Amino acid sequence: MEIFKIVGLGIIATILTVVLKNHRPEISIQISVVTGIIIFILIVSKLTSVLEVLNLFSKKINVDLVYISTIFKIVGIAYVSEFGAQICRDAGEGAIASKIEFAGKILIMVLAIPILLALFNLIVQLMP
Amino acid sequence: MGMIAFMRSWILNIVTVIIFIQFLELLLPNSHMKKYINMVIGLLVMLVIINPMLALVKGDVCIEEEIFKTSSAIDKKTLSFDIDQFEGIQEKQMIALYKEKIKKHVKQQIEYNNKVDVLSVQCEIEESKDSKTFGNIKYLDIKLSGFVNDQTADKDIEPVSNIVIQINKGQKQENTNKKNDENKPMIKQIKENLSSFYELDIENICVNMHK
Repeated sequence: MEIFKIVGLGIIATILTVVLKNHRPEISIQISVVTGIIIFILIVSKLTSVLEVLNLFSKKINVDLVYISTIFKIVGIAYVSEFGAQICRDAGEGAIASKIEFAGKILIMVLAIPILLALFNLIVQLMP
Repeated sequence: MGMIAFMRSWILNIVTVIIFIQFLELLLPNSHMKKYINMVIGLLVMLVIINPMLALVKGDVCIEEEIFKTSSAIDKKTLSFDIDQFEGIQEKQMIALYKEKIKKHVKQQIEYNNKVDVLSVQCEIEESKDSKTFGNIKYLDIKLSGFVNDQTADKDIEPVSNIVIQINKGQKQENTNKKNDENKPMIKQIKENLSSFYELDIENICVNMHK
């Protein structure tokens, strides 16, 4: 069972970080970063299979693929920036964390602008 | 019949997108990002709902193409901006590297041919890209240290005769004078070599000998 592995890893890492926090705070941060990455790697193979199934599904029902890929990209950006920001915040660097989030927001906006413009054009064309 | 097929595909589209979005909402991280993502998702749902209406009113319009066009236009703009920025930096690095190579080459050439140590080489090159002679050397300034290599070769002999010469100082001065005279044809030769090799005017090469 994958979930036991992940939870066990998480609990061990948490105990280690708590023990080390007072003596070596720099190592505790590194442990939390590495744990996050390991959990992500463990889960990424499952995620790819889920995404593949969703892609297949969307092809079958004739939904425009642009929407799907855009949404996936946006979710990915949100996740990655959240991951980075969370680590920075744990290390006590709130300023850097908010900058990471800001960058993520801007990238999401860049992806959203074409959709926004397309919608706008559509509405303009619909007007008599 | 066409109407029913149309309705069928429209409703299917809407339902699929909404199920899909509900599924994705589970995956979303619960953070400040959520409202931005929700906005984009809302836009998408609107597009999916309105899109077939346009097909009904105006015939076939490809929304996908329009989205692609806008995104490619954005990409193009950022790319051209990046290229402008990179080109400046890259050019400077390239010119610096080129100068460094010229210096190294000049140093090696002189040291190989003439048995002297080259202390420093300064060079100026044509740096404006528009000019036809881009990359040509404009000026070379070379500082040599006098006959170091040659002296080390002589040193094996000199300690023997050193004691003898110390008594007769005039002879030593004569010796150094002789060396200075020897240097002049060598400097001239260095200049000629460099000017023929780099196609550079001989007046633009400056060679100094440090004693």
